[in-house]
Amino acid sequence: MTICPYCDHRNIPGADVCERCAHSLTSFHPPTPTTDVERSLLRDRIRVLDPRSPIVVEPCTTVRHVLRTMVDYKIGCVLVVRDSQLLGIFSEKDALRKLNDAARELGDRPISDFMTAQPETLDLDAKIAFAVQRMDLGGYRHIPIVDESQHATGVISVRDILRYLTERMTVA
Amino acid sequence: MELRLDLDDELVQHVYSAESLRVDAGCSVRDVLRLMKERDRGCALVCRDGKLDGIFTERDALRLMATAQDLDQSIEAVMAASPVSVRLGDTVAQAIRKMSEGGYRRLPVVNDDGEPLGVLKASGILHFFVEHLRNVVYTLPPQPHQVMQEREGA
Repeated sequence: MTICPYCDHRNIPGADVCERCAHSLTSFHPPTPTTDVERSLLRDRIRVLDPRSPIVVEPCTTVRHVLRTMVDYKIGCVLVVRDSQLLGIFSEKDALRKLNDAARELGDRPISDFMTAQPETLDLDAKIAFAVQRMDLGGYRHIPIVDESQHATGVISVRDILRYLTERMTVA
Repeated sequence: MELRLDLDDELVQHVYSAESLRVDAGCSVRDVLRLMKERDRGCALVCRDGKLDGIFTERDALRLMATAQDLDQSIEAVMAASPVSVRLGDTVAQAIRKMSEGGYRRLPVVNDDGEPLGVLKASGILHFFVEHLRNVVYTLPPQPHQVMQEREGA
């Protein structure tokens, strides 16, 4: 049994890369946390952020309906799901980039034409360090949370991460 | 070892982004939407006579799109007027407080004369934190769970 230093996945002995996170198991240089907050990032799981339930829509839902939903629920993104499988995410940024001043004309089109397909996801047991890295390097503002069957169970936002870090990195 | 940032000592001037989109109050909503897309900006600082008059964000854009409003009206009719703003010498702690109290993800940065200097973004504050966490955050594998995907809108 080789336990992945990053995600703690239990791999079969002799595996070269972690089956779950694709990190090398042979030549890794594990990060060495030197501070309390660094240790927290490698210890705490997404679970502690208590991700809010996602608002989900079907791929055939119209653009008009999705925009309304985002305004009514005061949310920055919806998850696009079919048969409880996550297909994509549609955010304020997608609206600005892909609909822009043509939103009215595109109102009857299905949201699947404009979503960001196959978004990067994390699961509840992923270490918070991963979420921090994705948000900062990847520039994501929202990350869908999925279970083992790839069912979308939640969303975390850059604000959740900021709150977590502010609580731990600042003088009380 | 403890790592504690004293956010009461850290200043907005080290965290904000000077690259911002500035538009005139008389600009049409349509022009502003197009500029935000072209320049890849999440907000526009609306100015009159060189001073900050309002802010128009992605969120405002979404609301306009959802209600199919007239895009040929001027941006000043739909912007948030006299927005909550910060100054270069304000502390990061004060800025975070303003953001969380108002639910803002972006705050305009202005000088003493009310001229816009840039934008302080939640993602900028996150990056500022991460700079202090390089040790663990940047040494993680680049792709944890599955194949790379488009990052566009997420």
